[in-house]
Amino acid sequence: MNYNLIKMSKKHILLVSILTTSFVVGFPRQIYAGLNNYEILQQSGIVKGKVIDQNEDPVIGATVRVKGESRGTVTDLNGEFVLNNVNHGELEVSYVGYKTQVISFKSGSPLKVIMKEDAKSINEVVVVGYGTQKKANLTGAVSSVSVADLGDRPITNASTLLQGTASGVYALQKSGQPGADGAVINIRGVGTLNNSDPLVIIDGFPGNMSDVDASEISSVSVLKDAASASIYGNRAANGVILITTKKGASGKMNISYSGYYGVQEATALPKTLNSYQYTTMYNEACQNMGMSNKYSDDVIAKYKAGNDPMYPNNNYFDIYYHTANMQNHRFNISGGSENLQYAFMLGYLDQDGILVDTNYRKTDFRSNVDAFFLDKKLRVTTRLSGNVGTQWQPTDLWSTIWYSTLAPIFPLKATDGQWMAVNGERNYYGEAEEGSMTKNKRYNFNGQIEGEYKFLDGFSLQLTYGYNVEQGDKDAVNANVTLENADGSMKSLASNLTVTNSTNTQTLLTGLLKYDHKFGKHTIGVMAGYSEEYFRWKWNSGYRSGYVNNTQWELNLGDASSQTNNSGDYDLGLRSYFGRLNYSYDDKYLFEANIRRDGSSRFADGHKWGNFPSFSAGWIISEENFMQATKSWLDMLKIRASWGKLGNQNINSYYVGSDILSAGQNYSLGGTLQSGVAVKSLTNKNTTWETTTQTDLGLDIGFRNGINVSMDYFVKKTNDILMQTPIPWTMGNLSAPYVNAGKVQNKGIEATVGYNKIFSNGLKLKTSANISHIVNKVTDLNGASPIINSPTAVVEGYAINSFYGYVQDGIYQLSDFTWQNNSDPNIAYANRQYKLKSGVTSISNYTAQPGDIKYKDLDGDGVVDMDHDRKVIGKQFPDVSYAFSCNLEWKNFDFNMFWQGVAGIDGYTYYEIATCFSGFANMGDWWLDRWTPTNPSNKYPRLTTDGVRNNIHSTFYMEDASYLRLKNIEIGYTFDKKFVRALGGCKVRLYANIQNALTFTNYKGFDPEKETSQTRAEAYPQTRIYTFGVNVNF
Amino acid sequence: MMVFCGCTSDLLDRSPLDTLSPGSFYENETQCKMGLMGVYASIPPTETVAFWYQLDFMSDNNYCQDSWQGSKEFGEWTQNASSWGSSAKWKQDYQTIVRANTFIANMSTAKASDDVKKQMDAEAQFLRAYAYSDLITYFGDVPLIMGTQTLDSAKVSRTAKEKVLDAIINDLDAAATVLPNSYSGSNVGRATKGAALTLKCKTLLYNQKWDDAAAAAKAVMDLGVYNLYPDYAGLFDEANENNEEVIFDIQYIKNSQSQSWPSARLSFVDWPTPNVTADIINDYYMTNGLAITDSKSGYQDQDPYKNRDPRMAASIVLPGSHTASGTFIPANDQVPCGARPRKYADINGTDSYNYSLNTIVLRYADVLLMRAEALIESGNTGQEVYDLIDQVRARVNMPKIENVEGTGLSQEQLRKILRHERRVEFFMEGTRYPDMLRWKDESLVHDVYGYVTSKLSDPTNPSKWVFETEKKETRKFDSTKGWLWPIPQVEMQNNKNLKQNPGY
Repeated sequence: MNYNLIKMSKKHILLVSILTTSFVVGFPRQIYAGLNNYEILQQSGIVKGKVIDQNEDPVIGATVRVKGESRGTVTDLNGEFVLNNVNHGELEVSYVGYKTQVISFKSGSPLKVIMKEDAKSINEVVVVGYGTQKKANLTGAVSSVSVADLGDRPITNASTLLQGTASGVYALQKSGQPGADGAVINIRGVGTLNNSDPLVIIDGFPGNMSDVDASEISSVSVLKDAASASIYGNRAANGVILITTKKGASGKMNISYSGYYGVQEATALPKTLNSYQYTTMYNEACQNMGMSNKYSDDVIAKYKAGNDPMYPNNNYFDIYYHTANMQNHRFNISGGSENLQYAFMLGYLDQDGILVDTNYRKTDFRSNVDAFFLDKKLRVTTRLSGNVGTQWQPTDLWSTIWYSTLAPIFPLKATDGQWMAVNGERNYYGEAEEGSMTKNKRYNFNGQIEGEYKFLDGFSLQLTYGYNVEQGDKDAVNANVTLENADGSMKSLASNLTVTNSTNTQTLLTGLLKYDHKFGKHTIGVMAGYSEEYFRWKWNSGYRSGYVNNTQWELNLGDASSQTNNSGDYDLGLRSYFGRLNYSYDDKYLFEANIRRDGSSRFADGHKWGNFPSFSAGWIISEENFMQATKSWLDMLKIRASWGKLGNQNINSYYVGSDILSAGQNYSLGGTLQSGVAVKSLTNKNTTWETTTQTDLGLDIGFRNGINVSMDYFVKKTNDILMQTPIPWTMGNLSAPYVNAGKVQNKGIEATVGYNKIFSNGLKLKTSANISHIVNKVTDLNGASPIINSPTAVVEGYAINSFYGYVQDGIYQLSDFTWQNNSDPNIAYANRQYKLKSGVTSISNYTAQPGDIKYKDLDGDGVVDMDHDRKVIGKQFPDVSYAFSCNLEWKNFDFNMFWQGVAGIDGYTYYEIATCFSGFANMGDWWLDRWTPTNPSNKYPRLTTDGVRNNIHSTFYMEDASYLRLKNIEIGYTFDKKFVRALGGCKVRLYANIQNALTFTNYKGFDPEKETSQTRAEAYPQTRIYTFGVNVNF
Repeated sequence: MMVFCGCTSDLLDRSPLDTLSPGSFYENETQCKMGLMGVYASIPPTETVAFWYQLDFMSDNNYCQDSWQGSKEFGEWTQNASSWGSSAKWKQDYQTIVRANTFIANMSTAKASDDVKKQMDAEAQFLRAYAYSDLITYFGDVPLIMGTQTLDSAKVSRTAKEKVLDAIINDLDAAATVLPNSYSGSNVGRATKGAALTLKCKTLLYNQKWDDAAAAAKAVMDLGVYNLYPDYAGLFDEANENNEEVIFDIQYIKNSQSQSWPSARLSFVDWPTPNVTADIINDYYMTNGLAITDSKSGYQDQDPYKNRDPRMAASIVLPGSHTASGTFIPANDQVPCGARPRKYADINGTDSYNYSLNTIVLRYADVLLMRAEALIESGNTGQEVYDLIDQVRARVNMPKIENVEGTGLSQEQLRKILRHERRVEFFMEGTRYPDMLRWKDESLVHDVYGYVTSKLSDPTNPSKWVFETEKKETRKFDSTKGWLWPIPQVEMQNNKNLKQNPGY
């Protein structure tokens, strides 16, 4: 579990090795009193000593063994050890991140062992599928995320810590909404048209990253290539994320607290028009449409004067969004003895959202206990964790965000204090304030028990059983609200309540048999395993309307005659057999093979089972004799190659092999509802999982000067993608059967560079950078290309879900037209009857006028039309994603900076503020630069109120969404020893931190980081968070 | 090991928990009826653009400026093969057809009494004919699918419209012989003999089979089941559902089966922005039966709603009239034309998203006017034609043709009167647009005019209002498209055997 610690400073390691579990990995300063006065007992057959590092700080938890024997011990809190019944020989002292020391001893002589940091990190251990492996011996492509380097970022959803921290991993935070701020994670590109979420395994249990707190994580491994992931078989095609939580270690009990307080604000909200601009420009649009003005001069004057509350200038972004507070508190206790080690964690988060009435509160706990019996041959571990999170949001969240884009002219409240029906319609701000809120309470509990027994020489048997229960209680309330109309009349919105209860359960049973042996220069490891999993999802819902007050929301208090209910129920079973063989010769030549045989209940008989093999090999060239000359500057040079097959069975159906007669096809007769059934989908019983074949070539280089480089090139081809190849609608508008048909390819290179140095003045520098370039391409759609779902489409030869539409070719200018009297320039603009000059491209959707958007005529027939002139115009995946982090420590100060960016990605925003007079929405201020006869813009068209002109999907609404962002900047100070003594030995660190501090982008309006499917101006904005925090170690 | 999982059967052998299996269905009458209801369930439109009122938006009666709703481009004849309206209609009709086909196939082996099977078969045949009748109206030739299909047989080609028409008439004749005249209780709303005959009449009329259409209409009249409901406005009131004029309607109930895009919202300021054009408002006659353009009509252009055909106020939210949110003031509203539909809307404004007013598909007034039209078109200009039209006008106290236009009118004169009568009688009932298609009258596709809404603003003093109209939207018929809709582009892609209609 400690593989990642090497990336921390040495003092971090000291701390972590004591606490093992704690959050305090960011503490830069040692907390131990000096190393004076260790006593050495002169006693026969006993050897005592102390292990220290180059700074003379004790190394705690180092393994001390008598060379050639199995006897040994571990250093205590003071770095000291005692061995009995030994007289002389050699001691082997080892510790993660340090070079193993071998020293001769004689009983009675005190020993002082000085450990030296091992730049090669030869002992660094990486968590892999069903086990761990020395990083040096890895043959697959595994990224280990350096959790400790992230500082104390206010990470409220653990999935976001993957953003920019591992090459080849593209993580994008979905939104800034409390409780819904997880990241979409794509590992090495999207390889499927179905669910592309990676498999997440938390302490051996498939789960959800939101159920682990970032501070509880001791390590994250991202299994990227087939060699490392194929041990997870038919769920591994999207990559695998392995999360290990912190454990206890023998030593003194450690208690710690950490907490922060933060303030959030939106990173970016568009600048929009004021009421005067809006009304005058609306009139301009009316004139352009040949209609009379909508707003009279009187009315415009009132908006301009701004002293009549019914003629306001409301910036609705300011009404719906505000700064919001958050706080987070965590307690940890860890420690243990030789035979019992424990770690207990408890946390509380309270986060208000920046949008009106959004909030999330979560309490979580985790308990990891390891007990050892039978001379440590038997280990029994329990892992219990749970959390209860309550999320509040306006019941109609979508409309609430939508209303934040409203034009400034609508009053929010009448002068008598009544909420106004905005444009005679709704008032989602007022409604939320009156209680139209949804409370979503979610309980999650995970419990596991695991036993491992070591027998004979090198064998071990491990059994794990566990289950996960997720209970959801959702109350969606629409309160009784009275709104006032513009004419002073009132309108009542009726109340209702929808209650949804869901119970999702998941059980897991895993058995592993392992054998490790070393003979001569040969090292072999064998593992065989079995696992079975069962999932069940079940929900019931009930509805009633007509509540008599706005305070009691219980189903039984609603109008009984309005009640309806519904339910759903589905399940899934998985069974697997798997095995792995590792072989290395002389620690230079490495080989690994994996196989998994997986069965899934999703598919029909004869199509349930699949085999997923992989092979990989590595060669540590730097260990060869002929490389001796390079030893002075080159630490390590390794090349890796792997090939393997992975599967994906995660499609939007649990029973693809079953014929289904859908219930709920009801009809009413004579005022009575009649139950009806109908076949709604066509079944294909031959459906099976998708297969991804991945080849990876890797290179790892370590230089003596502290620079480490790791590079990979990969080709990932997914065949048999489960897609619903369209069938004729004349078959009855049935949903098409899943067919294993599509093909997608991802090719890429990724690189990570690290540089660590301790300067002579004590300044410690740690930097890391990574960059990935991935090309995603749909290579076959079984004749169904293009599958258009405007504004995106899946098209052969292009990236998945590319933007699709017309290509803007400037704006129609006056010079493109003729008009009356031989185009007499003296005729007023408004009175001209424009005719397109021959040879100028026309548009089938409307009759072009000067100032309208001009599109490219792709097929050259002189007319732009939907069926012939649309194409792929942009893509939702970046060409390049990159990140750079830098950690500095100097004396009591520490500093952390983390930059993250993407380049070569497009974003799309239409409707609302992006589109000219869309509904009741305001417009972005860039529309001030619209085309007029005197401002012949070639970018923004003239103003119209015409949906046909404005709602055409084209490059006009698409923009370069590349950005570079200072994701986090943090500065901390740790109080020194004197101060610490005054506080009774507590170690105290204070820090301040800004998340999403700075963004460089050309993307206008909203934040460029938004979910790719979010093509309307409807994203819940990302947040900038200013935090101030404290870490205390008692 | 299964013990740990708590599974009772094999872990990998899972079958659906919350859905039924078609393999073991149709075992009794109840199950058969559930299958039949699944066919009926396909009749209510679900996609916005497929709602009957969107058809009116495509016609000269109405206009919807929200292009996303799909009707705007059809009104302008700028629709293309990717247009939503075309795919929504195609999908829904074939869904109904295939569900009916599947049901009929399953009924042949179902375990139920022969009488029940015959009756249910007949209903399925009616619903299948209903869908095909709709398809040929908009698309012309369409694939005729009357049995079950496999993926291999699914790449169908288009069948000549005449052949489809034969199949429709076969289905309807068969249904008419079996179906009862009426139902009671919780069977009200199922297809009747009258429904089959009326649909037969309509389909024949739409396809210029004048004599057969006239005969079918007569057969409905001779059933003696139907009458005109005395109160025109009340005909569309939820309290009067299933009245004596209703021949077939789409049935809704509150909460569990309400309209998916509630027509109640038509009267609300927010949704779905439906306009009534100045053209239709001006087309309602004065109560004396004269057009407002007639110098003797007594029409006053600044008091335009006085002494007008009562069907106008019953069908339209006119400037200054009452709605759920008070007096309708065009300047405060989003509809550019300054008038909204009242028919099928919810003027009282209660629970408007949970709206259960049945949509009338076939009603008796249509039977009378269809017979009149069939007679006129077949050259019969006798007294029966006058009587038929006069019956419809009499219900709203509009004068007889004889008293206004006189007697002995030519076929051309009567055709004009008949077409006008259809327009004002069936406003907002989805009738005007298919009438335009079948009459092939290009003059009906023209620019949209509406009120200058800013001149209809002062709520305190409507007497100061100025009624003036202006152009709101350009519409121009595209003759290259003929009068047919495009086969959906996606369907063309799904099935290479389909040939596109001209002009697309």
